[in-house]
Amino acid sequence: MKRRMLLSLFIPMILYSRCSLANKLVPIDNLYRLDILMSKIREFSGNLEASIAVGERFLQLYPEKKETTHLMYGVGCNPRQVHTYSRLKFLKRRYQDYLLGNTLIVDGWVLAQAELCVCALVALYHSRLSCR
Amino acid sequence: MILDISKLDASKEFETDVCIVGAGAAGIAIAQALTNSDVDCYVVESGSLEFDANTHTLTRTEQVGVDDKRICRLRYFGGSTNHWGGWCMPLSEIDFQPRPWIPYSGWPIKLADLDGYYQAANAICKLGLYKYDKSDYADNLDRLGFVDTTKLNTRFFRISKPPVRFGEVYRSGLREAKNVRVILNANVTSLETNENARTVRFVRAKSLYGHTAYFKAKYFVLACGAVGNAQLLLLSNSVEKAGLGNGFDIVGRFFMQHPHVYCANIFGTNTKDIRDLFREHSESGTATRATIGPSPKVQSDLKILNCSATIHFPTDPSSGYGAAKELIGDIKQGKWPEDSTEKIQDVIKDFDSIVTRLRKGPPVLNVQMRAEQAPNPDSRVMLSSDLDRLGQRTVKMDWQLSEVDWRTIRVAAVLIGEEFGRLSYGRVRLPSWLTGGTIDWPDALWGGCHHIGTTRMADAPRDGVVDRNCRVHSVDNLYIAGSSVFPTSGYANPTLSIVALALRLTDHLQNRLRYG
Repeated sequence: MKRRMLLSLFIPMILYSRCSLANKLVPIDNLYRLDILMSKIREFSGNLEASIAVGERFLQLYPEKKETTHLMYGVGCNPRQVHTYSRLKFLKRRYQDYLLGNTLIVDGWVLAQAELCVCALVALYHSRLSCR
Repeated sequence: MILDISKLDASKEFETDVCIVGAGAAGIAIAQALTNSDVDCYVVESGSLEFDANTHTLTRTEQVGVDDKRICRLRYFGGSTNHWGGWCMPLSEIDFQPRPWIPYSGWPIKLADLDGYYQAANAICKLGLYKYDKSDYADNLDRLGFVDTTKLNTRFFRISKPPVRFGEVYRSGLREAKNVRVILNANVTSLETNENARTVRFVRAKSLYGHTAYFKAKYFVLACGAVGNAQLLLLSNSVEKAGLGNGFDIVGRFFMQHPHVYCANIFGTNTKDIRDLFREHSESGTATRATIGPSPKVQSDLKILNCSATIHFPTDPSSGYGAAKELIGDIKQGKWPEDSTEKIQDVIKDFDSIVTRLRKGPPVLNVQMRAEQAPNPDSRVMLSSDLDRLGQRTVKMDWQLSEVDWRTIRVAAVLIGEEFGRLSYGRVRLPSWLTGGTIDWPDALWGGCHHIGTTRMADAPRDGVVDRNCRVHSVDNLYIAGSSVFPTSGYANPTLSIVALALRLTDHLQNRLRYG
């Protein structure tokens, strides 16, 4: 647990100092959680390039939604419990979004906010990786 | 009996109980219902039994509003049923109700007032069983999970196959009827009234070749379509200068159609289930087609109009599936295509696409919306300054669409997208004209040739041209049949409702003749 805490503090700090986009988009305390979340999301997200494109467009259109905690909640993940996050939780959130009309239109696509948040997280994460 | 105007004695006035002007769906339905009754009837029809280019020029229309240049009106026996597609559906309950969020909405009658008439109209339109609602198709819907959603309603069109051409199907019955006489090539040019315009005394009819005839009747019924009815009332201005029944300047106003547009594409990996529900299903001489649209609750919550979408399945002609489809189509029609070798090669080369398409359905589906149009007094039919071959003023059509018409389509497309997403059938993408943030219509917009609303029905003369019995408020013996009396349009193709209202009017006329 201590090791994890250390990692969560230091690795993001190193990245934070090197990557301007990540600086703008990702608060430092969320990077470690984002790493874990992305390892889970990678299991069920589809075409990477398409996800990045949709995610970037989404963040362009709705810059107020770029805060990672918000995005994590958007995909049905409690940022304090990223280890318990699963595909099922995502599907449940997505279903609820479609049912309740929590959708947005991005480049004509009618998409659940959960899907857009996933794409935004993928875009965000990818931009951070490309900075490494 | 069917006669040409040229065979009539020009010096004579013809007297009858009921004179129907126009032999389209409404006129023929009334005449057919009156055959073998004790009511004497004339049907005065502008055209002949077949299409005639000279008579057709009388439909010339100047367009100043939304551009929709399709040929809709046909002036010959059978009217526009000579080229309709046979799609039918009754209006919904909500279509008759006053809706606070839609100005000028609400009929003076309810859906229940057409009970029985819709069923009879269903038989006249040769539509088989009277099945239109989702409860009639519960098995299919359960399988897809489209039932019990609060967002979307599923209803079904019934389609006569081939489309019932009223002029052909009901010709022999009218020819043999002793109490009904159909007069062809008789263009009614005006309705002549008494000095206070309270009673129509006779109608004057002319052929393009100089023959004239006068028809006197106890009751007159205009059944010339929404454009023709308004034109004839406006032309009948010898006493009322603004036109007959136009004391409140309503004749010709509230002209509506059903905006038809492709409003979304559905992209899915397995669309077979969607295709199975939304494709055309044959049913012994008729076909059915499922539609989805916003529920009455959603319409109320989001303050939109009624509308409904059908799903269509485009085929890429360059694919193996496209080639196979064309080949089979040609063979079914008894043709052996000239490029059969190429097509067979395409089929063999791209056999995978056929297997995938049959197993999983098409990769992209098109969503076609047909929407109700909001009643709008500025959307109207007027008289033009141009004259036709009979020296009569032609029609100027100013079809106007409004913000709520556009918003309805956008909201409905999003709702459909959400529903398909919820069910994981695919994702919906809207075209740019719906996502730009400003009201924009695509070039491919058309009104479905569903002309509606120029002589709307209302209880108060100030609000409409005809009363709940379709009688022109200010004229004691003049009635109007057809979709021109609809105060709101719903989204359902209008013919079934036109026929149902015509049958209701027939009962009313028979009662009036019997009891005064």
